[in-house]
Amino acid sequence: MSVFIKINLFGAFRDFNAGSTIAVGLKTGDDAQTVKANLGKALGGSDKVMALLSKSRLATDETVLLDHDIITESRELAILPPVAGG
Amino acid sequence: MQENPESFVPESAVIDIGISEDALSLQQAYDVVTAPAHGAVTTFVGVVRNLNQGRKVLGVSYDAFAPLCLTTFRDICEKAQLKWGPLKIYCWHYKGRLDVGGISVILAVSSPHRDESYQANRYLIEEIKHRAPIWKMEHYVDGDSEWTEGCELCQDDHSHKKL
Repeated sequence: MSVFIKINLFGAFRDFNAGSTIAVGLKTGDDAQTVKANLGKALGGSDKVMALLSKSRLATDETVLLDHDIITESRELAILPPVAGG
Repeated sequence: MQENPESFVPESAVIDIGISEDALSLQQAYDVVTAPAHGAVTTFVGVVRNLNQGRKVLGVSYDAFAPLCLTTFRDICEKAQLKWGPLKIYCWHYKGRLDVGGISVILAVSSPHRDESYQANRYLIEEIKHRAPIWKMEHYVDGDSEWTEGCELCQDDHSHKKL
């Protein structure tokens, strides 16, 4: 069964979408890497988007996810491009 | 009457962290970490500069994923306390737009002696730059704006899990 999860966009990802969030389809058994691929398509799939995605991580409020972490339920995630605090 | 040195209780550890859309205050940072038993206070203040990679900068807009940012700040501060003892730590970052000269981050660390304070403060800023989910867009004199390149986040060393 396919559901949608909301992904919060940060940093340069905000340039690829009109809003600060985007809905991405999720099927049972999808891992973080698959969700990232679906996010890339949802953001237009340009070379620029895919290049940024390859350097970015999905995260929850508490932790940065591994590519093989299974996303099992509909919940909010965030996509984090390379960071530049300080 | 002579005081018994044994009656002096060591300072307890403090961690004061946050993301603020209001101007950061160095005085507030100092007030949080200063303590009678701590003979050293070090501060690091990050400030927007007017030039980056040859381009004249007017200001910077900071974006932050606040919930994970706070979790990360706390983890970094706790690791510093494990390494250097019961430090008092103030660690706040700004979110929003700043002009040149604006304060983006304040780190203050106090400890009984200077060495722990210096080392911990340096550790904090390096970890924040590499791990905290914060981004900055520079605004240039020529009217252009760009997100700056940053550090790619490492994946957490946690076991495979369902989320």
